[in-house]
This record gives sequence, structure tokens and C-alpha cells, in this order.
Amino acid sequence: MNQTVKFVVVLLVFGAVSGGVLAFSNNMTAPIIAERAYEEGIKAYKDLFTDADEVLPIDEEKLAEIKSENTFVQEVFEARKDGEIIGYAFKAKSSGYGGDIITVAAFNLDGTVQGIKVLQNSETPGLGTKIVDEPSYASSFVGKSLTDELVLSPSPSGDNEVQLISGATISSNGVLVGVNGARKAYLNYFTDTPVVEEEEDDRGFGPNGLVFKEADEFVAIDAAKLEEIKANNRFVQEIYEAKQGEETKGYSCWTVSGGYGGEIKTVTGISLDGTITEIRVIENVETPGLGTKIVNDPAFQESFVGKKVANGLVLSPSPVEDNEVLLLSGATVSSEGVLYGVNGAIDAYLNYLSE
Amino acid sequence: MKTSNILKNGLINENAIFVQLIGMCSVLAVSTTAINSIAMGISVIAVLTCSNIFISLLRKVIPDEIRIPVFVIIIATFVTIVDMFLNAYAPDIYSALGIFIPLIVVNCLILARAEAFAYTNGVVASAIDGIGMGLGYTFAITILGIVREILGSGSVFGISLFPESFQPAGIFVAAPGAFILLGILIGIFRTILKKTQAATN
Repeated sequence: MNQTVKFVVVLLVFGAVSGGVLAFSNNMTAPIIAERAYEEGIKAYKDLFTDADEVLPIDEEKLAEIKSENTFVQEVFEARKDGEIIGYAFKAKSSGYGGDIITVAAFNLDGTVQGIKVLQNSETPGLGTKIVDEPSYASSFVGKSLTDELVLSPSPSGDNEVQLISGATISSNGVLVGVNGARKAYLNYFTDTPVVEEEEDDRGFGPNGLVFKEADEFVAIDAAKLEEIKANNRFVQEIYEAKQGEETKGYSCWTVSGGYGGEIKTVTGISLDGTITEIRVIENVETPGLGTKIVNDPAFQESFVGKKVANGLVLSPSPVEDNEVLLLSGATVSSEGVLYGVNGAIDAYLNYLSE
Repeated sequence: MKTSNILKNGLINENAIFVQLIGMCSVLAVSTTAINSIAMGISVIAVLTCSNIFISLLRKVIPDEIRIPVFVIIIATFVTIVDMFLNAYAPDIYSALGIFIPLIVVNCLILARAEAFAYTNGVVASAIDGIGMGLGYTFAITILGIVREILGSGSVFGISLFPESFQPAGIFVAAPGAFILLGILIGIFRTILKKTQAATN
């Protein structure tokens, strides 16, 4: 017993002394470290905006507003030349492989990247640290357009593609996430073209509400019937009956199909007159910037609206017939993936649900 | 034990990497280039020597049964303080070595020497043991770093060795190459060690 008490006391003393020493050292060093980090930031802003006469912090209230909504942004500075603002510099914090990565991203008023610089990282030396050691990484950001979210590519050529460093995939992406966070803050707060947020059904019906806008109730179909459909249809996951008042308007069918990068989850609305009301791709792991056009290019999902289900749907680069939907160039496999799901839903509808 | 013996032990006879096989994770991860290896080695020498001194100083007040948690507290505290002070007062060193410091906290070599040597030996001997073991670690990781850099990047200490047409084997910079080369190096080192020991006997 005495022995145990002794151990507890010794450990407690060591822990307390250690805590005290650490707190003391932290108090002593934290302000110096913070000041140095601040100066390093300013230097980076000036290095990136070589033309600027001065870089100044933006209005504190505005910064607080940005930070409350954007978890990446830590500081925002404006770069001025002859008193005119020529661009904005953001300090962004994101996660890499070994810990936090702090990046400075400088954007021009014309919506292009002026440059980026990784200020701090704790990535694996020799691998993840290539984000700093290989100048081709940072330089691949220069001049890229901010219109679309930036994506990684082993051989960047597109307007929104930056270098993916082999052996440092997670680290390259870590920096990119921070830069994209800064991009979002820039577009939302400093331009007239805010980033379009994902739509949500404001009535609380989830994806069902998006494909049947006029329905006011969704009821899952009979479980036995769903099992029967699922036994014969490998795409279908769930089916809901869309009702307006007492009247059935159609069916909302949830499917899973294979895309380029993995499973694509689609919700298809089919009304009782045999037309598609709307479709929504609700989950996908397609290649950012290419396959993800199935979600980001509104024309794709819109091309399904009002199509006749009688014979199934086909893809076309310029859809005109009432069974043709848009084939996205650069996203052929992903478009097909969605189409499999939708045709699976149509198949279930024609064989089991329509009269 | 004589000073030279302790040093020789750490450097050769009980080399942490080649003989004891401890502290391997950092060796495999960091030894992509010669310069990284040396930086990591220097950091380990500094931390290991100081932690050995601390543990040795406190060895009389640490109860035997709970020595391991106490070691962990001391080492972690010590490394964190070094990290903070380097960051605040020696930014140049910090930017060169800063990324290695968190790796040292989890290096089992430090804990192993606290347990095997510093806890039962005097301050001076423990400090020398820290230097010796640290040098042995540096020696091993640097050789591995040089070989990996030559084969994997075609350079050594950042200086290109071969004409442009030379195609380096990328596998040696990646993890599998580290395992393969480390295995070969351990084999070579032990063979030489055995021969010289047989010769002295």
C-alpha cells in the first residue's frame, strides 16, 4: 500500500514538474515564435508580390468573419502598388502527412495565382518535404486560374492543374487543400463570383426532395417488394414513393453503380407518366476536375430532366432525342457510370413499379 | 568501464542500428539523402546525450518499478523544450532540424539507452555512452543515406555524380529500397565485425 502511494506521489511530482517547466518554456518562447512566424509571413507576402510597394493586413472585422466561416485561413493581407490594391495574400493552415502545413497563397485581382510558398511543414524528410525542396511544385501554381478548384496532376497542363509530386502525394494534396481553402475565401469575400455551395433540400427530405420538388411526402416502398427488386437488379439500393397529398406522383430510386474511381451513388426521380423528373449524383470518388464534372457541370444532370424512360437512356455529346443525355467530354467513364445507375432505376421502374 | 570502451561499444560492438536493431523507423524513413541522414544523426546525438545525463542524474530518486513512465516523461519534456527553444532562439537550426525533432521523441534508441545504461551508470559515463551510441547511429544512417542517394537520385550530398543520361533507380529512395539496402548493410557490417573479432581472439 505504502509502496503504491509512493509511486503515485513520485509520478505526480515528475508530471507536475514537467508540466511546470513546459508551461514556463512555452510562456517564454511562444511570443517570440509568434512574432517570427508573423514576420516570416510578411516576408513571404512581399517575396510573392514583387511589384507591391507595401503589404497591409486587411480589416480585422472582415478577417474575423472570414475565419469564422473558413477553417483554413489564418491571415489575409492586401498588396498595394501606388495605393491601389493589386492582390491578396492568404496564410492557410491545412493537414499534411506529418502534421500541419502552413502555406502562403497570393492571388491577383484578375483571378490568377501570383504564387505560393510553403512556410512550415513537418512532412517526412526527403519525401513529403519535396513540397519545399522541389521548386517545380510551387512554380506549378503560378498563373493558374482560380475559376475552378485546383487539382493535382502528374503532368499539369490544364488551367487548374498543379504538379502532383510522386512520393509526396499526401503532402502535395495537403498544400493544395490549404490553397483551395484560400481560393474559396478569396472568391467569396473579395470577388463578385462566390463559390457555389452544394444545394440542399430546405424541406428536410434530403436527395428525394431534390428530385421531386413538388412532392410533400416520401414513403419507402414495401420491404418485400424492394427485396424482390434488389434480387434481380444489382444497382438498386432503396426506393421511395413520392406523394403529393394522397396521390402518388412517382418513385425516387437510389442506385449504386461503378464509375472510374469507385462507386457512384445516384438518386433518380421517375414520375408515373414515364419521364425523369430530376437526377442527383449524391456520392462519387471520381477524378477531381475530370470525372467530378458529373456533379460540377450542371448541364449533365439537367440533361436528364424530362427524358422518356420507355427504352432506357443513351449518352450523346449533343443530346436531342428524348432518350439521349449528355456525354461529358473528359468524363466519359464517369458519365457512363451515372447512366448505368439511372438505367438500373428505369429497369426497376418499368418491371416492378409502373402499371 | 573505460571511456574508449564505452565509445567503441556504441560506435561498433553494440551499434544501435547494425547490431542492436533499435531506432530503425527513423533510419528507414529519413535516410533518403546523405544530408538528411547527417542532420538526423546530429539531432539524435544531442538529444541522446542530454537525456542520458538527465536520467543518470535522477536515477537515485526514480523508483525501480515505475522507471519507464518516468523516463518517458523526462524524454518527452526534454525534447519538447529543445524544440521550443530552437524555434524561438535559433531559427536557422530549427528550420534545418525542426522536422527531425518530433521523430526523435518516438525513437526507441533514446528510451533503450536510458533503461540499459544511464539508469545504472554515473553521469560522465552516461554522457559518453550517449555520444557513442549517437555516433554509431549517425554512422549507420549516413552510410545508408549515401548509398540510397547514389543509387536512387544519382547524387551524393546533393552533388550530381553521373551524366544526364544516368537513370537513377527510384526504388532506393522509396521505402522498399530502404529495407533492402539496410538488410544488405547489416549483413556486411556483421560479417566484418565477426571476422575482426575472430582475428583479435
